Amino acid sequence: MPPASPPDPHARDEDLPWVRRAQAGDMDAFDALVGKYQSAMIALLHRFAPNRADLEDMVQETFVHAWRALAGWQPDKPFLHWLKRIGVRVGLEFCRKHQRSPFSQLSERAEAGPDPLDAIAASASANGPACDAADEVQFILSHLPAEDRALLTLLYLNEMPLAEIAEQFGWSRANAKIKSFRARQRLKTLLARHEYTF
Amino acid sequence: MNTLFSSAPRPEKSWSDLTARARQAKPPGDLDVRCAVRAAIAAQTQTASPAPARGFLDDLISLSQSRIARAALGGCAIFAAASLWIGLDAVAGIDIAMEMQGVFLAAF
Repeated sequence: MPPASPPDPHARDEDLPWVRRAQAGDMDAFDALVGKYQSAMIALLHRFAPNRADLEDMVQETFVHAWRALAGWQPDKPFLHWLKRIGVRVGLEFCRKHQRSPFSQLSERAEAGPDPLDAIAASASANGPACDAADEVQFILSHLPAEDRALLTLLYLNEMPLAEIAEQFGWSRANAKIKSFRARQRLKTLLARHEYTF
Repeated sequence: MNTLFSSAPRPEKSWSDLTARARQAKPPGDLDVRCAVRAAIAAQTQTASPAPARGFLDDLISLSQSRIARAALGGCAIFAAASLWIGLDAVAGIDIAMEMQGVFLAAF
């Protein structure tokens, strides 16, 4: 039995014995994998939800899903890639749950009414400008369909290449290009409504 | 003065600036989900007791506990029997016709 020290974060091949042990039901081995990769999952998912509680839920859910699907992992791809794919799906699910109703898309500023973006800017000041900006981006994206929101989050905030996004979602590259083009068009329309330049 | 309701011209907002600022947001460094993941998995393992495999017969028996379902099952059984009875009559008719055809052909 390998020692209980955590796996080396720089050596991917070292994951294999830990994953094999976890597949056999060893919770300590899985715990070590969680410890190794949770920072990568946090970095990926905090773009979807700047809120700490939501982020914690998503990261936890990713690892619980991973534990359930562990039997399906094949060593031909790095464990982190497989985990990221699960994380992206959890992010997409989060977008589905937190999508604003189509009626809220009609939240154009009334003559005497405040812009919801202004409300965010006015209320969120304690977390710093970067957090405010992240909140504002997610507020804008929440008016788009969930798949668009997830795609644009990965594209603009995680700066993930389109080829990798296609791989994470299980799309072909051509399909990812079309989806990205349409999502950007919808975003453009939305931004124009909120007086943003694209 | 409340700036939300002011009619002053709004400063130009740029999506690229906004996303650039949003990208600077740092994830919380002190987040550790190991205990929560372990607890969630343990809770799921405890609640997921293996359910006995249910067959078609089990479903039928469970259905028969309701009066309406029992009546519907009875109706289905009667309908199936009637269909079989009519079907048998039709098969017998076809059989007679085939036999007569054989006799007719043998005459030539």
